[in-house]
Amino acid sequence: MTGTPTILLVEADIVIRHPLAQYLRECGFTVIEAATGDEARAVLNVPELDIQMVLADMTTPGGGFALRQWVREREGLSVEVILAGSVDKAVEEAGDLCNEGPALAKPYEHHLVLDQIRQALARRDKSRR
Amino acid sequence: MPMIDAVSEPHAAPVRILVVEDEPLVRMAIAMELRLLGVVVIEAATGDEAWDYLMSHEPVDLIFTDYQMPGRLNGAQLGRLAREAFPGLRVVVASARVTAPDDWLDPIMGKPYDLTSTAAGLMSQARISRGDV
Repeated sequence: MTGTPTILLVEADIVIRHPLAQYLRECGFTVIEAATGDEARAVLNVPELDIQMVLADMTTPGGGFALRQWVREREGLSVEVILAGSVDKAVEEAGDLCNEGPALAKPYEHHLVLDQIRQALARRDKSRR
Repeated sequence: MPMIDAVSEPHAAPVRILVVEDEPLVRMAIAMELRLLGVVVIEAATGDEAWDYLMSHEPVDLIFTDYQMPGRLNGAQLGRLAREAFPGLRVVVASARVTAPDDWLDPIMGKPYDLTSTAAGLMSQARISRGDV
């Protein structure tokens, strides 16, 4: 649809999802975001979106292994599913994707994304008290 | 009207718009249209998610929210909370309802909306809101 490889990012926590999605966009990918497994399935059901891979947090409701199994069972859906069990792992996977991504150079090191996420999470936790 | 220097923009940072919409394909479509204009779009699937993001104190120039969404907060409730926490923050509520809801007195954007003109309008409002124009 867009000419750049498309990743579906599945992550329930917006404070994690947004910086991760932005990083992958700056690495040259088109990124579609899903907050739940149901949202992910709705997006994957649109073949015109031409999603090549899914990066999914394992704790997202309806995501994780259930989503991977659903993808495997869908005839004609050829999508790589990468599962991450933690924020650190998700950022590491994003860093690996970025290394292979369409941008000529990495926008910045992926550990900076982790720092950004941790700081945003800390500010949110403080606001909640 | 202030003269705008053609060489240097008063605001070099991109406009940031929080889009709140529980239909993922609708959210994706307006987000993509806004990104074509250079907007940084933060996507939230519910009012609760949007509030969560606002509580992390990342900057937002405008909120574009659906009215009817699952969870604790509808678009009007989110809008009121956001304005209380961040006075002056512009909030635009969209709804497919035929009659305007009782709990939001500002003009409501009707759904379905044209993506291109809506994105352009939101971008303009966000720039006005932060004093670019």
